[in-house]
Amino acid sequence: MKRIIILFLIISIALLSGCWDMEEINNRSYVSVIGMDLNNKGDNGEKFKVTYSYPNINALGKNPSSEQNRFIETTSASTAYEATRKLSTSTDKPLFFKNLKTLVIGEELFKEKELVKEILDGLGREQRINRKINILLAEGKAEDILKITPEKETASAVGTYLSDILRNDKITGRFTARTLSQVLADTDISDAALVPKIKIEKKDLEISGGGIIKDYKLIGKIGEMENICIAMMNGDFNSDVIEATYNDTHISYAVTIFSSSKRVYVEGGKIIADIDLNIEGYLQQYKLDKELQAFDEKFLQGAEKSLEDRIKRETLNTIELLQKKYNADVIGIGEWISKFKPSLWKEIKDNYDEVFPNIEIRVNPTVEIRRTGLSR
Amino acid sequence: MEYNIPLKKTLKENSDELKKILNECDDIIFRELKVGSNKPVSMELIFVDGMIDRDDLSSFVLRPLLRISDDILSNGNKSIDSLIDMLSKENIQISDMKVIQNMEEVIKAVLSGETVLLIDGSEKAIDLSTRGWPSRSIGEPVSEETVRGPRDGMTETLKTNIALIRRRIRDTNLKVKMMQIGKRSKTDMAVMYMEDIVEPRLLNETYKRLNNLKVDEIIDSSMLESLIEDHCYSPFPQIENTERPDAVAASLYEGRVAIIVDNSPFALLVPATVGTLMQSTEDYYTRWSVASIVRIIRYFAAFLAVLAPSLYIAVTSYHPGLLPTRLAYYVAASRVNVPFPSVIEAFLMEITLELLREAGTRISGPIGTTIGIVGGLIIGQAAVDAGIVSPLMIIIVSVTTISSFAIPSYELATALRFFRFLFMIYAAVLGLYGVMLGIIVMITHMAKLDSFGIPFTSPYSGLGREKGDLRDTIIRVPFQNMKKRPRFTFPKNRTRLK
Amino acid sequence: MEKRVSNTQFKALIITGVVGVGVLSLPSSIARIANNDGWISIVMGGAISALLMYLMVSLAQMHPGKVVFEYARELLGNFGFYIFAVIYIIYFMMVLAVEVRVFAEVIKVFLLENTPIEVIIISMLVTSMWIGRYKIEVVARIALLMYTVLFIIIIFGVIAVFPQLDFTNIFPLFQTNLKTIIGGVRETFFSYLGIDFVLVSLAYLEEPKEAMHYSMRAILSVTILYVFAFVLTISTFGVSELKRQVWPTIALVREVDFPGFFLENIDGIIMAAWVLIIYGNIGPTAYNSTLVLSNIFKTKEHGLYVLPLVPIVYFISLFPQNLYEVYKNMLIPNILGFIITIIFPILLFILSKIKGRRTK
Repeated sequence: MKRIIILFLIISIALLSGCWDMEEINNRSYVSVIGMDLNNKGDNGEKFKVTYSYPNINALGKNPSSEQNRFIETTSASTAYEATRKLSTSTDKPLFFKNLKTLVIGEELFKEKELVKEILDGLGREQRINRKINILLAEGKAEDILKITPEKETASAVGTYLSDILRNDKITGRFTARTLSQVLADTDISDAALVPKIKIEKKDLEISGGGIIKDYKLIGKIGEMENICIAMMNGDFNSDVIEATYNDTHISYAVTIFSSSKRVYVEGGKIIADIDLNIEGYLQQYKLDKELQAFDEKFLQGAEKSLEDRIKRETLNTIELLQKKYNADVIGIGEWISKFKPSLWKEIKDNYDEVFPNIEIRVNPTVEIRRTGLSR
Repeated sequence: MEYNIPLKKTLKENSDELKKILNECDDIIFRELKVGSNKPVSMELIFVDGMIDRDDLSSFVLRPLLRISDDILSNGNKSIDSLIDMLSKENIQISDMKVIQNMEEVIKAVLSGETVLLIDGSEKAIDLSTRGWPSRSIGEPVSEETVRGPRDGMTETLKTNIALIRRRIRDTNLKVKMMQIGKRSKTDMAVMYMEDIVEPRLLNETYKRLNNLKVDEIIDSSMLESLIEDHCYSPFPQIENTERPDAVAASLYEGRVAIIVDNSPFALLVPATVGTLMQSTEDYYTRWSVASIVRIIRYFAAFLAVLAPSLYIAVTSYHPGLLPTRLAYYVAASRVNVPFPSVIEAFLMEITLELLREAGTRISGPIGTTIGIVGGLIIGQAAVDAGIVSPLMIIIVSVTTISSFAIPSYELATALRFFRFLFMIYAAVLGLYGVMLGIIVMITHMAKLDSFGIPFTSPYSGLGREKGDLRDTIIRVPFQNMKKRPRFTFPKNRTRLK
Repeated sequence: MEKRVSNTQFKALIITGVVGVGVLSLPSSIARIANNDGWISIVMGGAISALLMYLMVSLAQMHPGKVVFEYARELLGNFGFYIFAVIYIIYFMMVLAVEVRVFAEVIKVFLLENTPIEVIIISMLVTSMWIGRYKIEVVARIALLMYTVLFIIIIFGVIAVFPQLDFTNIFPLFQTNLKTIIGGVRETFFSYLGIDFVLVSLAYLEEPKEAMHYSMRAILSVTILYVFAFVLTISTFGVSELKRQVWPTIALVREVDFPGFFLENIDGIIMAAWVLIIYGNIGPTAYNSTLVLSNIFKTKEHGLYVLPLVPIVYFISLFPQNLYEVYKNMLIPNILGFIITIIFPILLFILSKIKGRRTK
């Protein structure tokens, strides 16, 4: 009998002293977006200004109340992690990062190479933050981006609004969502990465274009059309609308199936990269006229050619920009060489910066109009 | 209390002795009669009023006895022994009788509902089988109803039950061995098996355990069950029980041994494994595709019944990161104003549900159903409205309860109930890791259980020998494909002759 | 029923005895040595294990019905046997300590951040080593169940991970020279330890003739699993990122993101299965160690040795100060494992052959 009592006591002690990790689900703050900015008034080592956005649980659920549906907290700190601890002096619920979806980095901050390196290292090491968080470049300050409550946001989308927009990269090529692991992988191989850009547009948030990151530093921004071209050359492109002019008429063409392939070879001492783009889609808009019909061989071929020309023109412009102005290989040429022509890569990888602008990149788009819709 | 003494010659001595032993037993009748008018022979009938079939006694025993003419009595019947011979073979019209000489046998016979005829001048008595007592008519077994399939269930009378099974197995290989267990209760029981299928070792083990029993009484087959089990301390049952004669017959065909106990409608089936406990007779009466899906659902239900509350506790208190984002927000929002941590919430609701269950079993009929509905609806709804528990908890708890009813074996469901609470404690201390530790403990426990030498976790744990058994456990293949008997009982004869 | 192990249980015992914490870090450690050609090292490691397995099965088949500790005593003499057994016991204790320590670190990182690591270790040790008390039949049943869990979770994992794979990351192939690749085999060695369990479990096998066939299948399964892990991780991360990971296999499943299909944070399921897999690894190893001890002290009961083993393993596992030291100290169990898996079987094999010839 005594043995049972002792055993019981031991077990109860073990149980009661436990529960080290217990924290009720409604007692946590689920940080959904983090914003990081450069702290201009940065003295005493506090280089960062970190903003956390987390939903107000009270306002969610079946009967959302009319309270504000999220809280924004900003603090200055020397690292992002210190910011968390600093905030614990003023928030009642511990911050929880497992459901973090997006990280917005301010423009100015992105220009500081060393700080960016610190951030990326911390994120890669972090066990609580997933590596599939999206990274966004903020035009301006990240804090401002987070403070906006877009009008279109519904109660159920609180916290996932930004990542939901980023999911749209399946239907448009104007921006390409990049996750942390993708950014890390990109910088590993070719020292350059592309990060989508977000800006405030008339009280709403808009993600378009991107920022070129070279050697962990923001060196330039690109617009939507350029992003489409880069996405095409990278193979990340899924679908979008491309417009061209044929015989003074405006054609609108929607891409449904897209694939691209690269081939790099050395010819006559020069490195040549051939990028083939295979584009299939359907015609969306032509012009309603008794004379004009889309079911016309001459028209179809001509339209395809116009589209190809347009794409070729745009991509060559983008390549020029990337090679000459930014010297950033975000289109994956270096990556391709490292994988499929390793001996060549061994030669050029150490001075790739000099080699890249001199690579002759040829783009061969092939456009097929598969369908013309319901009318001829 | 040994009465192993032979009967005396005179009726008076025997009768007095019996009356002394059976004094204060006013339900035992001593009926004296004198047969024959010339040289009347005194006889006495001893029986328990209420355990005999009165018609049998009056019409087929008393009447022929009292009508014996003197001629037959004296004619050629010089000795008492030949008188007994004549009576038993030519006169008394009872279907089953035997001659006994021992006091103990007399008492045993009388207390079993048979009538003993004592004859003056002889040390022999005649034991007449007149058993008949009011018993429940054969109806659908209450605990195991089916949509399709026979609806006769076993009753409390041993002979009826044996007959119900015998009807389904008209094979000479079906052996029925009667035994009596219990010093005071002297409960009759029958061990039934198919001689050319059953493994001899299993049978011998069963006999050994039954013969080694030294108990006073066996009130119900469940007592017998716990006395002959391998591991009576385990919450898991190692012997299956059923009220359905068709289930017993099917088990006998598979090489198992059935033990039927008098006064209990539940027959014991030996051995029992996880596979057999999760099977229901209805699986064999519905079409195979439906039965397979139902079986898979049943396993899923068992899984839910054990783990649902503990997973809820683990996820809400420890790991909200495991939920998809939307779900995490929703759960958090639904628990906003609940004052208790999820552990307390879960325990509260589970205990309330157990109370409801207990209350429901005691009250049957219309009141019982009302309590079930009232209890469930009102208490659950009221609790949510009062804000004491979150609606998700109610759903989890009701799903758990419903799932545990999906398990065919009631004992297995109760074992899982026990483990459910254990898991909840584990989850409360160490979250998901604790739940997994609990699962390890449960699996370790189950793996070490044997049922009469057969591993309890068959057929899932020893696939080499029992590969074919999977055809009839998680799913059920059509009968055409079940050409061989399952191996887990190591039957002698494996072909089913399809 | 006498102690009997079926063929499938035999295969499961080998697989669960081998697959442990090695699979977590193997892809990145081998990538650090052999880059994209790491899988070749893995396959070579598997081939060597298969050879060793062949040797061990032949050895065990020469002594039917006897566990290795029994006939080792005959072959090596008492003194030799004591050395043999002591090495074995130290090896088991170290392997158990490493396994449970790495396991606890993983749990601490992904599930229970604030719980002290001692609690995680002691709870896992007590629960898992408990089956060392039971007979081989029970251990075999549990191994089969855990093997089924492993199998299901692999299929589930591969399917869930598939969309994020970029197979071009496997290239460039065949860039590393052969010497480096062979050097990489040493790295994979720890992940293949555990095959020595054959020497124990074969004694109880139902049909010893089929042992070779099933044991080869087991080695093949393990090798395929490791190659899969390597291919999947390198396809997801690319070789440079892979080299930086501590536990790439887990990071792999954390990348899964399908909110539409509700597969958002599946690390919970994977973690749950992981606990069961490690349980399947620790259990048979614990059983083995009690067997050694019962043979040293010549007792019939082997169950009571679990109790003293638990605190010893617990203290050994807490010895390294951090994860880096854990991996650094793996040298000792590696060497011991080398002795046990390679030297001992060869020695015993030669001795058995000599003895066999002498008796003839």
